[in-house]
Amino acid sequence: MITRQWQVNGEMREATFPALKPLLHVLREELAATGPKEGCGEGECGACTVLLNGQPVTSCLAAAGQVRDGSTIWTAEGLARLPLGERIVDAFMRHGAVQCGICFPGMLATTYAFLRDEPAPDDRSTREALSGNLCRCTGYSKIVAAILDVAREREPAGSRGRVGAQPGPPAGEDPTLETLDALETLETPPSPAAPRAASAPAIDPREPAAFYAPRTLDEALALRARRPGAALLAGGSDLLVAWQAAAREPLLRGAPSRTARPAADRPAETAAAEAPCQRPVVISLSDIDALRGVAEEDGVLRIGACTSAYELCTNPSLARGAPALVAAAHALGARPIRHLATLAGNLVNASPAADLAPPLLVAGAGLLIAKAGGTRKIPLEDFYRGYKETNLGPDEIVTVVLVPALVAGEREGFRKLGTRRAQSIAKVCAAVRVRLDAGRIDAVAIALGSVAPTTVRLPRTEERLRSERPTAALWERTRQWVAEEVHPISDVRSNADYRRAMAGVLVTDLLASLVCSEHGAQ
Amino acid sequence: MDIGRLQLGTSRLRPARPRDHSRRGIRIGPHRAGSRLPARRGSATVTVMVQRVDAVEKVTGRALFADDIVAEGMLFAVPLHAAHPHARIRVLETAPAVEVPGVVAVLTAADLPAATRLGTIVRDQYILAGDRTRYQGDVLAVVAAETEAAARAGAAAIRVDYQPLPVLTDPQAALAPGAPLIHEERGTNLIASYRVRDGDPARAFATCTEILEREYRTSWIEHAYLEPESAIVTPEPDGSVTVRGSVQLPFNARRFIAQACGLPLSRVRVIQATLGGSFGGKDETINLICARLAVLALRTRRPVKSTYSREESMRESYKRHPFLVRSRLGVDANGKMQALDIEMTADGGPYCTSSPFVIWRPTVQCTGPYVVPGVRCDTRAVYTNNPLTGAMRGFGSPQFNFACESMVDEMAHAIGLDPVEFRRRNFFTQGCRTHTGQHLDNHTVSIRQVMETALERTGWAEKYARCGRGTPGPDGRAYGIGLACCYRGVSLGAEGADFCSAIVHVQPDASVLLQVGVSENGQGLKTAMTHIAATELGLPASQIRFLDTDTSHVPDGGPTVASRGTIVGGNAVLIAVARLKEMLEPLIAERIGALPEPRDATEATAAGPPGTTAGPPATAAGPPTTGTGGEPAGYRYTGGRIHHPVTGESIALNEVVAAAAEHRLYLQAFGSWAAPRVSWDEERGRGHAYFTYVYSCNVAEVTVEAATGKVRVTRLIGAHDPGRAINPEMVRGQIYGGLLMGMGLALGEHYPVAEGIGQVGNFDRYRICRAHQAPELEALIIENPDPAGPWGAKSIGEPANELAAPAITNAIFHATGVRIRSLPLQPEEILARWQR
Ligand SMILES: Cc1cc2nc3c(=O)[nH]c(=O)nc-3n(C[C@@H](O)[C@@H](O)[C@H](O)COP(=O)(O)OP(=O)(O)OC[C@H]3O[C@@H](n4cnc5c(N)ncnc54)[C@H](O)[C@@H]3O)c2cc1C
Ligand code: FES
Ligand code: FES
Repeated sequence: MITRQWQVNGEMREATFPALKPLLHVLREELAATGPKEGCGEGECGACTVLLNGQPVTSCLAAAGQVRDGSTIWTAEGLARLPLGERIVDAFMRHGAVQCGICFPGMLATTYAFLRDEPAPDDRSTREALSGNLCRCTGYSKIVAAILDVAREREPAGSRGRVGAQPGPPAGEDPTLETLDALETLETPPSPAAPRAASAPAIDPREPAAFYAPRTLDEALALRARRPGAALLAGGSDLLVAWQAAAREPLLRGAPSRTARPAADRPAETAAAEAPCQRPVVISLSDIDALRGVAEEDGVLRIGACTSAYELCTNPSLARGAPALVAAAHALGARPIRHLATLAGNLVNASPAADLAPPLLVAGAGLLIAKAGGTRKIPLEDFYRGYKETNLGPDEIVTVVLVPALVAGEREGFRKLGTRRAQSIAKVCAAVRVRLDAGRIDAVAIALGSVAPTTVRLPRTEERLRSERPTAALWERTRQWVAEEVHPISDVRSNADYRRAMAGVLVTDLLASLVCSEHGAQ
Repeated sequence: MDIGRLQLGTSRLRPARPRDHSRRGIRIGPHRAGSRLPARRGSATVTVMVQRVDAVEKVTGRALFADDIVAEGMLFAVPLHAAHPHARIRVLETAPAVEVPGVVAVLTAADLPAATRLGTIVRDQYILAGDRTRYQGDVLAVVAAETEAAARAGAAAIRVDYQPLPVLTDPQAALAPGAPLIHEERGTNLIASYRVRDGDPARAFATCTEILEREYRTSWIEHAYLEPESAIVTPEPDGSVTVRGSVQLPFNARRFIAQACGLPLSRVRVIQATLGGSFGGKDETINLICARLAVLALRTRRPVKSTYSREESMRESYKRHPFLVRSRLGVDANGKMQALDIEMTADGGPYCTSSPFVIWRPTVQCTGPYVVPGVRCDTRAVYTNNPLTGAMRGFGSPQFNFACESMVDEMAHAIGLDPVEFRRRNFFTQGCRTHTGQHLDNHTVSIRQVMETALERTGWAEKYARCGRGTPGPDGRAYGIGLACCYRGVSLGAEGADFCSAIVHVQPDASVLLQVGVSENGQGLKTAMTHIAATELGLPASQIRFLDTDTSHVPDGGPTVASRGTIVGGNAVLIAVARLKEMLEPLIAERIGALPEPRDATEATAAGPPGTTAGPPATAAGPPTTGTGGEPAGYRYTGGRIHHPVTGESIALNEVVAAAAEHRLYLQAFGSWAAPRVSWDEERGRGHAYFTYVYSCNVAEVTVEAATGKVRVTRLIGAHDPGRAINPEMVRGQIYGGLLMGMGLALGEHYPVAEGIGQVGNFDRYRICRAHQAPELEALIIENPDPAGPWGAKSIGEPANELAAPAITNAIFHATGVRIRSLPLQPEEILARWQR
């Protein structure tokens, strides 16, 4: 159990709880802030959205122990009392936007951050902003209309930004992103019963864990060495999903039938803190400030492992040097997820659908991996071993991602098929980096997600493209080559042939658009 | 974004007919359908925009949903679900659970004190599975503990040994002779079946020049209300229980709980908490949950709460029935439908729930809004070991409409007729006879008007002409537009006893407590009822307080399902208010003078708006604010005052209320309304199925990408005739939400099932439409006030949800030439068939 003091809706409050307990449950159960609701417990519905230190997050995925002392938390109850919140509530009323209403406390938090940070909201950006908040009743129309109304009658800028304003996401659209699209079909993992983070130990976040939140990397490495096999917790957007799902419904873990487990397996709340061998051990990386941020040295971007997807989208050096990565980060989840999700978490989780990996693969990115004795450097490509498997040692931590910045003459882009820009693990995603010389393809790198057990490069297709002139006929052949080279996991529902064909379409379209925009001709 | 901004006050009016009841006659008993026509003239829209009375609390997080309620010393309970959809339970060992620290009680079938099985129609669902599991959501045990973590640890510690049995996954196979029986005592796996025979289909087919035979399928759909089931049960010192929960039907819940606990109904009090969505999904599963909790609460003498996780909710709660529809339609040389032979099979899962209702509705609506002389229709619902299915917004119509409106489009294509023209030739007309022998003469049959309005609004003719028809445009996408039409019986119809009551209780300061036997499910019922009472009493809405449904304080109003809330609740409120006004009348007369004698009783009532004591509220069709011709002879209630109709003299309501107190007159009035009579002859499939109908048309525009087969719905239009839109903004809200949910039946939403087990458990894989994926939505309201509805209102909740899917698949056909006959559609399927 740990104790934290936070400013909740403007008041200092104190709560004591098991460290991994989701912030949502601490707010609801310990602090009587029942505005935020639990609709899914896995980051998908947004009903639990609150502003944490000014930023919207899905509080069901934030381990409360990671929320530092002195943090500010605003829930619907408090936001509704602030001037901007009042105006939003008023607009929802005027438009008759509310039906059953359960989604609205979360909608309010998301909307608050959006209107605070977005200088010129329009229908599209508003919908994008709401994409992490499900509503089953209203069809969204009136919610969007109400928000645009508030935007229109906005007060002078000075009175805005009461709750820790931060720079908003980049204005304008990344041209490499597809237009909004219709619903895509279901994506099924290789085995429906398989846990979603196979590499993670099963931990019940409701129960006490040995929880460490070191401030420095050295402390973290020392801990890691002492406790090999401890879970490293960054943003938690993969781990808390997996842990909670398993705790909520063990049947979904695929256990054929339940068998008795010794009670000792599940230590009671009262178990002494000194019995760590029985308790899961978790090392939080979120307090290590040195693991965040972006620097550029000699044409190489050094991105701290714990930099969040939101920070990736808003960083100017990345916008210049790694636009495909920025596009991918922008397409990762909705904003409340992007504030939690970290770069290393996405890579180490090693999902074949991880969006941040393909842009790094085409850039030839590498990882710096540290352990108590020293640091090694490894190309990202060599980091993956198989489905959700990496070669990270039990005593190691990823500290930095090294990305060669785009140089003059190179272009790169990222695309997701079925682009649900928000809340979607890609069905097929692709990144391409390409350089033309004298009208021919001089160098090209292609990487794909969701077409094999890991994210992959396509060396054969790259080789075949080299020195070719970009023509319609080439694109026709490229589609073929890509389809031939990928090997989708076969037992997925969306049949492998379709996925293969889609990979071809996606890569070719992306490549063609990059080349065309450079040369203004086919 | 271009959202609905059109409200059409375009009623087709016909002259009022004399009425058969006296001026003050408040009809409480059933009256014959067909005896009256819309009576109001000048249907100026009553569009006072009323804000929802419960919205601010919800947005600001103050409203109490079930999981927000806590009780001192409460236990938390979790269910243990079946790991096998069909198995014998050889061993169920709970002792290890009891040993888990914090666990207080474990409930299994063996511990049930009274009923062991419950159900709305047939009591076939086991409260707890004892010796056999029949589906993935059967609950074997409920563990109550000091904390949720302890309860879950306890559930995980229970040892179960299953002997798997063959899993019945196909309804057809389940009906085959020799198939294992899910309920032996019933002797069959057939849950229910209905039939209609009209005309001579065999001979009619012989006259047809074109006959099509097709099969259509739909799959499971999850309600996906954002609030999972939750309830808290408190044992009271007197041995009764109080239940607060996310309950759609508090009276049904009460019955379930009483039966499970062996208590009289009077000792079970169910209070509905603010409901986080239901759409029919919180009709039954939650009642069983409450029943289990109540037994635990009585046993442990402590409050017990349970809040399901999303996964538990998806596992146990029922889904929309998958339908298999086999349809054979014949038309003559003039493009007139002559014969229809249709068979529908619904997968009911292991228990009856409301399956009979779900198949009865499509049976009595099986022609769609078209006249077909020869009809044979057979429907059935079948027990299987698949996920449980039950009521969901539409009660079978969304599935059936998909089949019906696809077939209509296919036929139009087959005979080379424009799909619109084909519909026009066959539509119901005023006074026509349906295949169940009902004459549609007591309300305005507006299907044609509704469709034409939708077409005009979309610019159909021009857009239909530029459909891709298999060829993509220069951007690689093929464009298509499609439509679908339907009619829908309002309320329960001959499915159930249709009645409701309300209590209006005026306080000494003239504020009002209002109780109605139907409940707020998120659809805005509270607001509608408040609005009606406020308008009738001439008070601001803030003076009226709608009390949440509490089974100990308000009479049973029958289920708030089938989009019946407004019509039955509103009528009950009108009657209660009229009663109240009768009580006040002598007091008012004493002060501002008596009313003049009526000139002509029949004339006055036929035209009198219900805003006065003169109008018979049960049947009044007129708006309260307008009134030309046949000026009402009653006192007028406006602005907190009561006005004499002739002298114009007035008195404050306050004063009259004070006078009542002096007279020891207790200002509480009870109103009860029963629906007009309906009938059903089971054997012949004949009767007045519903007392009135709603007419609807949806139009969809899509583009389909040639390279990927991906469908993008760009615009959905819902045109509906809800009688009168009492609160147009709320009606629009229902239409927008309904369109989007309706779209989910066609694309996006999918609940795959393998060997009886659902393969998705949460919103990561069960995907409902998000804000940025929603097409442009537009709502068109066409008003033809209905004599049976309060102020002419009928319903909108379900009509809004039942047509989008066929409009979309028809649009896809006009874009690509690919006909989708199985939902949900898959881009890979479209792609494969389009390329061929
Ligand atoms: C609703 C929702 C939508 C999503 N949408 C997308 C999407 O569109 N595209 C996409 O790609 N992903 C998506 N994701 C997943 C994405 O959020 C994660 O992959 C995220 O990037 C993981 O980062 P984290 O910090 O939250 O990881 P955590 O959950 O904290 O950790 C993930 C794994 O990485 C390990 N780890 C973390 N940091 C380090 C480190 N420094 N060194 C070594 N190991 C480390 C952890 O031990 C763990 O095994 C979505 C998730 C949710 C909940
Ligand atoms: S509860 Fe659904 S996102 Fe947190
Ligand atoms: S209003 Fe019901 S979920 Fe949004």
